Amino acid sequence: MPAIIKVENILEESIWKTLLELGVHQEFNFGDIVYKQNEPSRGLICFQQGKIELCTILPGGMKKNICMVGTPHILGETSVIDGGTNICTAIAQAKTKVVFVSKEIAQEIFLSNPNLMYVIMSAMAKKIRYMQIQVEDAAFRLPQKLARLLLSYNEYLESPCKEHDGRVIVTHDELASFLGTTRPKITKHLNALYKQGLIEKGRGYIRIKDYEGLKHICGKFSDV
Amino acid sequence: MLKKEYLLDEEKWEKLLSLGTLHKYKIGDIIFFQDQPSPGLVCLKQGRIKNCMFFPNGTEKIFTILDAPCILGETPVVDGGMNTYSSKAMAPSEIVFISRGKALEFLSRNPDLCLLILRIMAKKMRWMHIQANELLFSIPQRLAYLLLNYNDYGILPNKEMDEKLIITHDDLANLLGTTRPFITKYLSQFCKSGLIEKGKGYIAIKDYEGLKRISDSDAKR
Repeated sequence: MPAIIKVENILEESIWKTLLELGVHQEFNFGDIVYKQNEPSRGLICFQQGKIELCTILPGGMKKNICMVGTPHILGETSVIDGGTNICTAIAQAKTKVVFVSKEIAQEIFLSNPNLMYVIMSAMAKKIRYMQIQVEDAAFRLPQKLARLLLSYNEYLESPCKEHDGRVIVTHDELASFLGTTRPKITKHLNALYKQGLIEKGRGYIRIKDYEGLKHICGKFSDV
Repeated sequence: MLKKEYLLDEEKWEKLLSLGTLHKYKIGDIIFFQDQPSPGLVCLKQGRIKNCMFFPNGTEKIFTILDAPCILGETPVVDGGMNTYSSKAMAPSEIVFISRGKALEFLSRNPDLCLLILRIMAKKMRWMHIQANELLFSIPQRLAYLLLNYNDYGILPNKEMDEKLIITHDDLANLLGTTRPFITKYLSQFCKSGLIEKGKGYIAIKDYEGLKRISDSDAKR
């Protein structure tokens, strides 16, 4: 597995403080939209407290989950860098505190702080790795996609479960939303994985029992 | 017609290239392989490459097709991880590899290169989101969308859109995660409806509105 650099481990505290001082503080409640895809960006978002879900909402109401992020985190960097609109939608999943730092101020701080640029690069590298897993799914069928998602879920997403007992805290609805399918299909394929003894299911979680077996289903080159 | 915002100025580019070693590749050569230790920062000096993932069942998923000059392989340089994908030469190519240590040192002394890498990563982030969202749509819809927006989809993202898209049906299939016969079938349908024109190795759009209607056709989009 690739080495993942945690943003909070390398961001200098003084820069984080400066960003928080220069930005506009705002609080959100569960279900509130922090920012919306395709709308002009409000700048760099310093995510201080809470839980945020990043997703895409397609015309017609279909929702595709991208990831769940915890604190502290920096969001909205793509639009600050290229001046484009928001790349996705962010929805608060708990009482959430964020600070919006305007694009102009953020860009100025970027240039004078190599450390911040490196932190942003690291955050983007991490996102690129898990976005790529989702993009690779084009080459797979649903059962393989599901196995891939379960194996990578704790690795790449900010999951609330930090214990290393192989538990993935996720609902069937959330899995369906990640893979762009429906809950009944997810339940059907999870039952198949359960029957093969690869996973254990409980209320709101899935525990991986046989990593090698799941990897075999994914059929990824390096893992075969 | 290269976009300036994705390039270094000539002097910096030469300076960067002087830090590494030049390698030459023939068509079809693998430049680096997925999940292997990174060769460092990869500067494509000349040629054309595709970045993709190979799977054991023989399928291949293309992420992006790039023309020189450009920089790639930035993710493992930044996070110290393995290669995120494989890279294969689509034309005779010249490549300079710069070791991670030297690249990081150069980055720390050249904020403009940092900004360039950030812009490259931002561009990547955008096409990755598009490709990930596209998975929810049918193949004809995805094909129509790709033809209309191939620049945003990861094909030659350094260049402005050309009138003609030069690409094989195999590569289109590997970009969309399907097979060549399907691509040929749908392209023939598009051709018959007068939406596109096909020639040896290229596709040109004749009816943008018509193609857009297909890409938007399902209620899902």
